[in-house]
Amino acid sequence: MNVLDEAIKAFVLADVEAGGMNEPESGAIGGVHQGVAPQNTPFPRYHFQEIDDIGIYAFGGLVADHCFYSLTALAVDDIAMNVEREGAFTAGRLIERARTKFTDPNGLTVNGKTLLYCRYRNALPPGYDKDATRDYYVYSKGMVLEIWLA
Amino acid sequence: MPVTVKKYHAQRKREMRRDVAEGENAAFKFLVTEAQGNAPEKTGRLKRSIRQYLKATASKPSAAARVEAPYGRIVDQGTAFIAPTFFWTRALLAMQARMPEFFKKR
Repeated sequence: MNVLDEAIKAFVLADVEAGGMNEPESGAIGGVHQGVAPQNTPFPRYHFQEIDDIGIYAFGGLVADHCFYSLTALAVDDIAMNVEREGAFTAGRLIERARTKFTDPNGLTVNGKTLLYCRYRNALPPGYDKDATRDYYVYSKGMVLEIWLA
Repeated sequence: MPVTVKKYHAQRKREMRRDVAEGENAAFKFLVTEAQGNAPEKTGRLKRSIRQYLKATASKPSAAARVEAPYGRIVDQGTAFIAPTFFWTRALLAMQARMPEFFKKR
């Protein structure tokens, strides 16, 4: 659903406070992307994608949308200000932050829809993908969110 | 008569176990068919590798299915460089949503 895609993207980008998903220093400086990011987009970054959107009907009328979204944080090992930050730790920290923010009842808002609730459903298995060209690993941690919209 | 009641209970227990096994097999059949339908196809290996490898029976009511292709998880959930398709995850969610249907008395 396009409005939900936009809402998720805007919600991540708006979290710029300390420890936030899009904090300029230690947040997802690579941004938030649907499915996959353009080549050479820096890490850490978020990827999200709709898994399913099930329409709930009362007779002929659509009364709610039952949506499932995946949200994944991707990070690499990096050295900043003489402090080595492990990619797996960064990915974990970012996805934990996302979980806290997305499951906050006063958090996500969707244009033209009423958000009934957004809840954490399950974790996705952590990923360790090798970028052979640049010789580094990309660590990922993700989750599935269950979102009800009316 | 106590003997009759005992017999009845034993028979009912067998029937219930059989019903559970049938429900589970129906659920996993749905999962496999749905995942095969969702799976992207280039050579067909991924599609063929989705199968129910453990069938539930009345004496052992547990079933299981899996994707045997080693790259199944990558195609399903993607990587930093490949977009996910969620062929398996979608099928699993659909199966869970319809779970009561599989256990309705046929």
